[in-house]
Amino acid sequence: MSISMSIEYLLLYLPLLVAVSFVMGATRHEKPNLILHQTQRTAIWITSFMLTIYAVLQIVSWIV
Amino acid sequence: MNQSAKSGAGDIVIADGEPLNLRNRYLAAFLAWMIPGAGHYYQRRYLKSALFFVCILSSFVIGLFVADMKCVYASWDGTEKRWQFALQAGVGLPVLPAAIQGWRGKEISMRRMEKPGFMAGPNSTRDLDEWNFLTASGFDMGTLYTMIAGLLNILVIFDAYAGPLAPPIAKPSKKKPKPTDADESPETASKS
Repeated sequence: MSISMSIEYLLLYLPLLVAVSFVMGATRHEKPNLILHQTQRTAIWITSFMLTIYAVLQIVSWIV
Repeated sequence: MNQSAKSGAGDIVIADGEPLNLRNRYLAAFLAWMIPGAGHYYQRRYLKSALFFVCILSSFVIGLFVADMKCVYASWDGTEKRWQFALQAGVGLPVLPAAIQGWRGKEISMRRMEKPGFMAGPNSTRDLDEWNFLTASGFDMGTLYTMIAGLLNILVIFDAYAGPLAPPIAKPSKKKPKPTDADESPETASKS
């Protein structure tokens, strides 16, 4: 058994990721280049975290 | 952490190595709560103002549209205890209609047998079921979007009040620094 997910759900993830990353970046720096760098780091961190959770759920669904 | 100092022109903090004038920080924080980005506009931090305005309000509006405009309301009765509204209220003025509708109560629309108005809570659990059914999972998704928008604005309010948060502390390097000439003073050399 695998986890099924509609593509619309994944599209809903993108605007939230962009908004959260930019706000997190901009509340930590003043200079645009530093904001962009922090934004990028936050986006990668959130995506990695979500992918890890997805991987764990996928493995659990294979086992059960 | 940012260093802060009071001057005649306003509160000055050091951010990214440069002084930053927060002007009247209390007013800025209040404006930031009322409209996302307004506090930063007042502080003349125009780029961040535009960024916060677009990011937070777009999240809020997307959430409203996904939930067919039904996910933001204030209700604390037998139908539903809407704790999510406390987080949505972080966005400020955009949730004002919901606060007014919640304050007015639902007696008026129930007396007239009307459907709930804009940002009004459900009249009964039947309305709530109908909203969940009609929007599929959009109701929950919209609630999530609007809650996150409110939470993000709390960070923005703090930024308007106290300047940028300290970035996460980097892990200390495992490499030991090489001793310099200054470290090898005559006193330490004689002890060794």
